[in-house]
Amino acid sequence: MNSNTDCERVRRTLMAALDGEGDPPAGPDRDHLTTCAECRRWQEELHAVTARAQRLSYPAAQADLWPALEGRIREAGQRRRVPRWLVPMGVIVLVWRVLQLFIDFPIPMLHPIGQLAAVAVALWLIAGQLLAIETSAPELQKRGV
Amino acid sequence: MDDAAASRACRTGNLEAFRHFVERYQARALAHARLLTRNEADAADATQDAFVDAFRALGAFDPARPFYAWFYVMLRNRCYKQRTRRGTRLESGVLPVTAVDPGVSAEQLDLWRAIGRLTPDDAELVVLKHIEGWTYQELSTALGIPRGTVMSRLYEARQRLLAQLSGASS
Repeated sequence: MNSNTDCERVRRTLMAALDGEGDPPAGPDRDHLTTCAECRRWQEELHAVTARAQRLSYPAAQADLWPALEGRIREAGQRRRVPRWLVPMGVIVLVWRVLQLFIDFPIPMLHPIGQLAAVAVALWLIAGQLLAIETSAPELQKRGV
Repeated sequence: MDDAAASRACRTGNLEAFRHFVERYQARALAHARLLTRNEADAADATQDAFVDAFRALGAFDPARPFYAWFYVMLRNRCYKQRTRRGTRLESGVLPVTAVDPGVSAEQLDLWRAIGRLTPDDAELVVLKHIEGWTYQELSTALGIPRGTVMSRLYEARQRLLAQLSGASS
């Protein structure tokens, strides 16, 4: 007599074999298939639905996304061109200016406009990092993939 | 132009080269986003956002790997964010294809309908396995779950798909 446990084990083996990820049922599992009509029917249905699904295709996009995306891509491209070395420079200037509020430091050599630009760029890039999009699944990030 | 050449061109500042990725993958991405969000507007927003994410992260893309598998993780994140933003309510009527899509046969539409009646998680597995042909390992990496869990969830999802199809035909 076939138990549900046998059926489930055999079906899982059949599924893996159909997907090319395992060997077909052997030994008692193969014997089970010869006696269990339900599992044979399940196997046929799985084969049929797999064959049907492999013929599925995606419909062509009804609207091209590029016109809407182009502006955002160009904007992202402009942001990416800001030199990364400005970040540490801006942070140093920022810390320097904060410390000057409390301690009598010498006046920095950098021109005030240069200081202002470095701080502004640093803050802008740091804010960009804080708002950075996720580029991998949270589960993958946890696992360090 | 192939994906590797397009990614190299993008890295040298040729933004127009990114158009290659959008044109090549937008239909597939929109179909997947519809399955995951079950909302037409959310799917369009998530797909656009994912393409922008991909452009920003293109420096981390390994051209030796398939672009879509890499992109899909970002698309999936965007779809989940859209769903979270909207709450847990899912609209069951939104399918990756409609009866008016050119080239979609009645048989294909029936199968899409059955897939559309699955939960987004089940539908995602069925589509990535059956249509995309991803291996268990590729599914495991993209979905962030162990290979054994992929097998179990895929088994359950297929059981439910078969039940949907037999229910629809009876």
